[in-house]
Amino acid sequence: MTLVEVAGLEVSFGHEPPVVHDISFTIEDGECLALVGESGSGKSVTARTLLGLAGERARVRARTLRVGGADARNFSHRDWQRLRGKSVGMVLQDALVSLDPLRRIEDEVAESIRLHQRDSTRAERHQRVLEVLTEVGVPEPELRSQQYPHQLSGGLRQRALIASAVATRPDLVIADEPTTALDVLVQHQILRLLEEIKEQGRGLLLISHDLAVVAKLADRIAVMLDGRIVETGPTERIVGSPEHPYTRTLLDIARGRRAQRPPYTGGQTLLDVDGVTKDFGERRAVAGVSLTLRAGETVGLVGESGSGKSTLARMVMGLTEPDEGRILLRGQPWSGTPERARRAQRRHIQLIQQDPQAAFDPRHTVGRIIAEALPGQRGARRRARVTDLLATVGLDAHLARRRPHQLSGGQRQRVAIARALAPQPEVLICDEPVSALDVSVQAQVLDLLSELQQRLGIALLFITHDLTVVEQTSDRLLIMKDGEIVEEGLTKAAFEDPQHPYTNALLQAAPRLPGSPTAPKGELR
Amino acid sequence: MSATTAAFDTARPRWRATRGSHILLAISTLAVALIVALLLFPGVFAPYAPDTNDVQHTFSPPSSTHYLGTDQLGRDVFSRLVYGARYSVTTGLVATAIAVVAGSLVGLTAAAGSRLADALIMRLTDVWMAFPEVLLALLVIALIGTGSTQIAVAIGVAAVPYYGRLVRGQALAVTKAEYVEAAKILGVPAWRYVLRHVLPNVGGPVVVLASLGTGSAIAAAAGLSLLGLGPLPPTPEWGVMLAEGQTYLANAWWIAVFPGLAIVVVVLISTMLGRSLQARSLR
Repeated sequence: MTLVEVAGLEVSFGHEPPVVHDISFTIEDGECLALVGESGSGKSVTARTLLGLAGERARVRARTLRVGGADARNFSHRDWQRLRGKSVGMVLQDALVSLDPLRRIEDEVAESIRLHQRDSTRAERHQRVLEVLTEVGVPEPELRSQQYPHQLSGGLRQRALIASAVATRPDLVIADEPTTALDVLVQHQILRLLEEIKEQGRGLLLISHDLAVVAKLADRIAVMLDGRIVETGPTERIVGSPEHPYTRTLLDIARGRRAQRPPYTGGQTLLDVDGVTKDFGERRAVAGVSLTLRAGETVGLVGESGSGKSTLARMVMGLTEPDEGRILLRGQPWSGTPERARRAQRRHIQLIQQDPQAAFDPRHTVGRIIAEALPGQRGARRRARVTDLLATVGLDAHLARRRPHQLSGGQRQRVAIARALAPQPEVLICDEPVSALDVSVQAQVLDLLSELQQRLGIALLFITHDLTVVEQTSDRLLIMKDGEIVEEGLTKAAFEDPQHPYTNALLQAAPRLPGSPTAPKGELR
Repeated sequence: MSATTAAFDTARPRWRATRGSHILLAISTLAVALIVALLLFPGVFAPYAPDTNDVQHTFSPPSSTHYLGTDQLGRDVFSRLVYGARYSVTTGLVATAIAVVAGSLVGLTAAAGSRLADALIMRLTDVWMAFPEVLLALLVIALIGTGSTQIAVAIGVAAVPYYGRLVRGQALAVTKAEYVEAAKILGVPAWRYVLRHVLPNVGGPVVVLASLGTGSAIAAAAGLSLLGLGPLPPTPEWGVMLAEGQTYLANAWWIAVFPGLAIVVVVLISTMLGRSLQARSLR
């Protein structure tokens, strides 16, 4: 049965040009269609249109728009309400904000049953909630159904959200970036769960920016760019022989194919972290971590959220003091020294944060933001240096007059890099520098960082949860788990022959396309 | 061919700063400029002196010679309002200034101090806020006596906890902001990043609250004067004029109504200014 049939769909807001342009696709039952594209490509708007949630000011036009067997073009508000939750279930990206913090999991999951099966009794609904929680792999459903969202881990929350989407056994499930907010291992589990939902004979519309994530699950892929589907076809064909240049770019990025780095030749030790420990109350965030960073070297520090990697970064930056151990910068004591003494040394070590928007004073222009990193320089000389730095990161000089919110995500991160480079540091700490960016922009920023490093001989410490990012950028690799380093070695060696079971699990859970430099060895279940 | 147009969803578009708020800001800025001119050069606007008695023309209704009429002693109501702005508006401004300065000190102390100091100060402001502002002001007046300055101090003191709470919250948020950390990482000295990042980002909302607060402070000052706690007659303070006028309300309504209107207009202007500043800062 055809669950969704869309032809010539166009969505626009107000008098602006359409954000979705003449797109057509179908979804059969038991089939998974993936819409792949970057932010602003129109994929989420398309998905929301199928639920009648495009927005109040949205103008939707289509030759054909059939959802759940009915012509949805002239649907009233009530028609849409009947459809939502009953024949179409929706799973959103972030379960923490999508679940009501004040409601128990049971109430959340039972809501759509209550709305669509009005004659159901409380006991029946309770039974169905336990059933569906078990189906989506929530352990101890009796206990979990009585808990609140904040008492659940990220993975369990996402499962609960999926449970509420499939509680009424809808024919079609729409999942909008269902794993983007999750760690690699949890992402792997959720993708397996979605696969099971598909195997039950339901249709699945999967929306993602990451080709590697969808490749395993989708039967067909539609690649979206600027509101149009530029290429569509069976997954094997799209991954195997892409036709559109944009699809090829996305595939290259997903496979981690970037310019090869010359082998690292060695240099003097710039950063020496020796057995640092940090406790927050009872909890040990960082436990006896040691690492060194030498001139011109890139070290990747990989760990999932809560592994202590950001706390380590804060200690390295001299923003938090370690409880035990010490940190040397350029052979001089760095941790435990008074801020007055440290201030003069700060220019040698700089940080690039995950969210560049938050790292800029919203009131200042780009020029002023960069100029703050140039003390003692005034007037024309300072302006020239700001222009210089903007050019170094590939930005035009006129952007100096803009404010941070007027820039794109990629431009903002480039400004952050320009500011970090301004004091001519020898060590650059990058804390998830690309995880807030679109994939193609990620590739550009990573290329820029590695080019700058080779040109300027900076030592880079790359902190990330994403293995594909370090695989191409790092000479050495450290894997962190529960505050400890569990694996340490050359990146190539660690990828080919991981020593710690956790590293192995991470490597195998990482979504990969056929033809990636390091393909997984076995199957992780 | 497209066959249909449909619009769905229940979500309302969020209200945003539009051209309307720019016009509002322009109008209120102009009005504020006019008030400042009244304060500085009342003689330019007022046709008569505020305290010249004219027994020939008592209780004259509004006319072309006396725009807003005359009072029981034949004094020109319009001229008295113009000169009186100096007392009423200034009292409100001084009260707000006292509240902002003291409130900022309280808030910054709480934000920068130890956890115990913070808790103590915050509980104290809770108690403070539990009393109605006018009641607190009356209490202060009971302690320090009556008069224009005393009223300003009393109203200012009563408003301190509101500014204190705002400043504390802002200061806590801004000092933990990543952009302040970024400045620290660049080696910017503490005094400089406090001056450059913390104060301006804390100050924005305070300016908004102060311009909204000035209006209510002016109204409160007039209220206390009406009760006879402010300057004494024949001072052309608006509250005092209101008090004097109410006796003759049945025969000569203009003596009391126009001072009342003046208070309303000034409060309205200050609220307009505050709201339009708020809209801009939310953009």
